[in-house]
Amino acid sequence: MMFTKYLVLLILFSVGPGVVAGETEHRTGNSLQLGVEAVRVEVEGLACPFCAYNIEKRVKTLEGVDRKAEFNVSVEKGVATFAWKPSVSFEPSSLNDQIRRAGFTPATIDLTVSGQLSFRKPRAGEKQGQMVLHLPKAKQDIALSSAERADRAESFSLLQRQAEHLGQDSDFAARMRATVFQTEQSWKLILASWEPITYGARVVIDVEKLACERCATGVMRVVTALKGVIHVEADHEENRTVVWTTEAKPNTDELKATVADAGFKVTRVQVVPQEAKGQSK
Amino acid sequence: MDAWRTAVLLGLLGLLGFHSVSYSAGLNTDVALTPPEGGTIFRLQWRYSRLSNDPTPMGRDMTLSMNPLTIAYGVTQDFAILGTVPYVLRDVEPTSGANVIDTGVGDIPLLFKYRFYQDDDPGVTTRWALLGGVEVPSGDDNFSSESFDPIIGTVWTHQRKEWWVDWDFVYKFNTVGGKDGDDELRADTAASIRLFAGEGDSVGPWAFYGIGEVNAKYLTDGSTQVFLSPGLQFITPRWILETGLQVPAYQDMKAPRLENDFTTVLSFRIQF
Repeated sequence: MMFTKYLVLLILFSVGPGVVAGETEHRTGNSLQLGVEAVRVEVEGLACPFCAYNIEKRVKTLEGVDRKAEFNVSVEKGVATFAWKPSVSFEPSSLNDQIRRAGFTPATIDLTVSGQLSFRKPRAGEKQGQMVLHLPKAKQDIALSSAERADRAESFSLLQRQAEHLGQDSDFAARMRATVFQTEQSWKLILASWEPITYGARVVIDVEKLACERCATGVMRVVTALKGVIHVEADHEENRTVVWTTEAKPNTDELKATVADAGFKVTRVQVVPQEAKGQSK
Repeated sequence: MDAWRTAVLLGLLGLLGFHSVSYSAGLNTDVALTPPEGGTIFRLQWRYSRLSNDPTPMGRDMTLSMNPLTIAYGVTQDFAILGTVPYVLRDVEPTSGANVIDTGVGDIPLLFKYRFYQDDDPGVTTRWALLGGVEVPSGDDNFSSESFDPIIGTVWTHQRKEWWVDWDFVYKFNTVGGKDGDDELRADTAASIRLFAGEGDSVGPWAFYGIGEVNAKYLTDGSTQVFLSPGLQFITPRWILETGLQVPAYQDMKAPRLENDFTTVLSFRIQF
């Protein structure tokens, strides 16, 4: 199991029978992209202050630990908390390994994540979708059974229904913070806070030949990483990529260069000012 | 080896014992907590002892000031190596004549510690380890047994946030043989209770512990000692400052060994 460069949890509306969600990501553009900001790990066997240093020393060998930020070990709570660089992938087994090498037993891991989610309502002719959450399967060596976790899982269900409701009426994008934690069967996500993102403009980028779905996905990936980009859709059948940005006057030169660097010749760029706050099209 | 040298050396070796290889929880005992993989712990102690009741006609008293420096290194998460270099100042007071003062380095125990059992729960850990190694002669004319003496032992620890307890049994085979070479068995019990604790910003979590130890030692010549050892520890994530007193509860020393009146201990540990 792996959190890739950005912890990517896909929220997708299926667009028709037989369509596998992952294959249609570039068509729908519905996505939830999250970076890990902070980690909280419960450590068993932690019983004295002298032990705390060992945990900090070992865990700080991980590339993603933000060494400039505070690293806190609470002996009373049996918990270590520390900041994580959102741009670095988080691998639970690596953290568990370092805690074991410090001489202790790792237990549950909570991640504070932030990022943005975006999805659009189904277009005419598209079937109303069902939200599908793709969460990595939990490792077997992390147990979870407390009542607190059960409560959290319930609140997650409420969030899920809320998000489905929001997505029915309009395109939607938001910045969000959440807690991700592991259960025995899967990862769960609890929304801590969110705020809608106001679109500044849409940029329509036509390219000479967006040959296949893989090409479209590649363009989406590089453009999504640009600052101010909220939402990207790429359609290889129309040789077109549409970028929603927070900027009213987006940097089209940067967009063109990024698409060109991905290997595609840009034939036309059109900026369409946003009409309504928080919505598109 | 003349009688005088034998007498003072045996008295000294009895005091050095194995307590100098301790590097974790107790003041005078070994415990099962090993350094983390790749971690190093330094422990420097100052031990001041008075010995008297010389059973020989020499009627000596003795003062020992020892500074054992222990270094422990975690090779893996379960396997550690450790060694101790004891620097000693000895002041022998004969019934007549001037004091005889010597300084030097005592024999150097080199040990491994392998933790073969570990059971962790939130705020609780239980560990059991094996000890093995050899006490290497320092070569010092005044402070060395001049023999390579194998050591075996075991250490059991149960630790909670509020208190901990550990037991250890350590046996040293003296390979010199004869009167100069009695084997030694140590059995230590150490218990500690947390008096105060906090999680300050400057030092991180800290705790103030009170310790009580019972340290027993038996030599194959029949000499037996049991000490009671109260102490205090201030523990932070990076270092520990500790102090204690060791007083005899029972002593039956065979000639030419001296009895121990008391030992005071001041100790500092730091880990990297």
